[in-house]
Amino acid sequence: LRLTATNVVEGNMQAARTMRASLLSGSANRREHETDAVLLRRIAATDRHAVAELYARHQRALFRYLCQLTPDSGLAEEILQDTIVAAWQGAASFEGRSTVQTWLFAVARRQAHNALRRRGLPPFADEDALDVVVDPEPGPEERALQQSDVVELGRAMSGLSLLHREVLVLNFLHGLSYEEIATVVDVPIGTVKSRLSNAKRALREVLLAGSADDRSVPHTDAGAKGASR
Amino acid sequence: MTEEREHPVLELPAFAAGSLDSDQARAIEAHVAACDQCRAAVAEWNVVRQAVQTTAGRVTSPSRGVLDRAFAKIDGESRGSTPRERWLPAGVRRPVFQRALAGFATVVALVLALAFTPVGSYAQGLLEVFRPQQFAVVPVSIADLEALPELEHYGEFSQVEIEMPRIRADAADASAAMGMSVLTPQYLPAAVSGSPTYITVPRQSATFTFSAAQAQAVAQVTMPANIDGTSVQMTTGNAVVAVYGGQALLDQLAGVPSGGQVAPPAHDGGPLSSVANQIPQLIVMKAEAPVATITGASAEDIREYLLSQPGISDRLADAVRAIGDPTKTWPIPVPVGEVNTRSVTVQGVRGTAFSDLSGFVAGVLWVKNGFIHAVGAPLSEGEVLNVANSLR
Repeated sequence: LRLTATNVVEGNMQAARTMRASLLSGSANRREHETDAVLLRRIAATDRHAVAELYARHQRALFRYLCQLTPDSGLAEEILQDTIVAAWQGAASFEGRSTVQTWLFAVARRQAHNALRRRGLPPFADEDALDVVVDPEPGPEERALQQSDVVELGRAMSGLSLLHREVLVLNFLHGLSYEEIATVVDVPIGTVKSRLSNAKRALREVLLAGSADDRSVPHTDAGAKGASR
Repeated sequence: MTEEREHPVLELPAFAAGSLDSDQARAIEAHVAACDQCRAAVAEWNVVRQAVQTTAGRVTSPSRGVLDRAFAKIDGESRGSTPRERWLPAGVRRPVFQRALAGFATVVALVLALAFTPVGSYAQGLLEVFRPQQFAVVPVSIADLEALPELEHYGEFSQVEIEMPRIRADAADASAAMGMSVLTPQYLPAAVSGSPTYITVPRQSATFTFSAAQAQAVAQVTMPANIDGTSVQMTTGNAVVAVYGGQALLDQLAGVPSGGQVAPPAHDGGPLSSVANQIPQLIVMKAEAPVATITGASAEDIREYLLSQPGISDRLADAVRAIGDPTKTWPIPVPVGEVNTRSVTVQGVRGTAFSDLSGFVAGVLWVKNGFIHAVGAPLSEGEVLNVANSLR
C-alpha cells in the first residue's frame, strides 16, 4: 500500500507545489502578477521557486505539445523534465526576442529532437518533400472536409507525419502566430504557411485512405514512426 | 502566386485559429464575407481545428514528480538534499533547524496532504464507496518509504481535475466560496499573533485504472485478471485552511520577495527570527471527507494485491491489514522515530494527536459531522489541543 505512505510524503511535496502555484494565482489580485520574463530572470539567478511557477504555468501546454512529438506520454514526460533542466541552464540566454512561451516550446522541441535521436527513434527527419508548395485549394476531385468528419479527422491525426501534426497543433491547439511557430520550428514563415496547407491536404489523404481501406488509422506509435521516415 | 494575393488562403489557418491580430483578422473577415471560395476554406479549417483540439487537447497533465525529477537532475542526483528540503526557503535549510522542521513538515504534511492534493485520497481509493470516519496510524520507516513501488507503474491516472487553491479575503469569503462554515479558534496561544490568511482548496478528482500491461511492462509484475481494468474514482472535498503567521513563507510561495507585508516575528532577534517568519504559527483546516468509488475488483482484493508487491515489507503489510474496516478508517503513515502519536478526545470525538520527538511541533486530526478537521502548530500538544477544542 505504497499508496498510503508515499503518497502522503509525496503528497507533501506535491501539496507544497500545488499550494505554491495556486497562491500565485490566488494572490494575483493582491499583488502584481509577475510576467514570465521576470520569472525567467529569477531563474537565471537560480531561484527555484521561479522554476516551479513557470512550470506551473506552462507544464500543460508543453506536455500536450510533447505528446504530439513522441510515441508515448512517458517519453513526453522525460523530455518535459529535460526541458525544465535546459530552461534552468539556459534562462540567462533568453533575449526577449520572442515570448517566453515560444522560447520554452523551442527548448522543448530541441530536447525532443535529442531524446528521439538518443533512443534511435526517427527524429524530425528532413522532410523537405513535405514543404513543397502545392495548390492549397482542393481540386474538383477532392471532397471538402465537413463537420461530420471531426471525429475521424481526429483519429487521422496520428497517421500524419510528425512535422505536419506539429504545425497543426501549434497553430490550432496552442494558438501560436506564424511568426512564433517559425521560431519554434526554426523555419521561415513561408514554410510554416505551406506546411499548414500541406498538413490539411495530408489529413484529407489519411482520412480518405482510412475510409478506402475501411480500417481505422494506425496507432500513434506507428503514425509517429512512419511519419518521419 | 497571384492566387495568394487575391485570396488570403495561407492566412486562413491563423484566422481559423484566432491568432491573427485584430487588423489582419478584420481584413480577412471582410474578404471571407464576400468570397465563397475562402468561406468554404475557412469552414474546412474550422473542422480541422476542432479535430486537432479534441484530439491533441485530450491529453491531461504530466504526472506528479516531473518537476522533482528535473530538480534531482539539476542537482546531479545529489543525495544530499531531499526533495522536501529543496523546496524549503534557503533560510530554513540550515542544519540547526532541520530536525525540528522534519517533524514539523511531517505534521504539516498530514494536514496538507489531506487538503491540497488528490494524492492524499489515493491511499483511500482502494475502498468501495466510502467516507472516512476515523484515522488509524500506520508506522512506516524511511526504508519502507524508499522501497515503495510507484503507483504509476500499475496503471494510469485519467480525468484528473485539479483546481488550484486560492487566497481569500476573509473567513466569510472562504466560507461562501467553499459552501461550509469556517470555524475560528476562540483561544489563541500567546505565540500566535495577527489574523490568519484563508486559503480555499476546491474539490479535486482523479480516476486511477489498473493495467496489467502497464504492470508487466514497467514494474515487471503480473496482475490478476480481476484487478486489471479496475478503476478507482477519487474525489476530495472542499477545504478551507487558515494560516496564522508564516507571512514570509506565504510570500515566498507566492513568489514575492519577503519584506512586503511581513507579519511581526514571533521571536526577537537571533537566527530564529527569519525562521519564525517562515513557519506558520498555526494552521487550522476543515475539509469535506473525500469519496472513492471502485469499479471492478473488491477493495480487499486490491489491497491484498498491492500489499503483495515487491517493496512492501511484511511488517508494513501487517500494519495496514490491522487497520480493520477500510471503508471507515483512514490509514495515516507516520515515520517511525520521528513522530509520536496518541489517541485524544477533541471536540467531543476521538482524534489523533501527533507531536515530533523534540516537542517542537504538534498537530491533531479528527472527523466530525462528515468533516475532517486538523490543527497544527509549532507548539506543545496541550496548546494545540486547547486551540482545537476552542474552535467554534
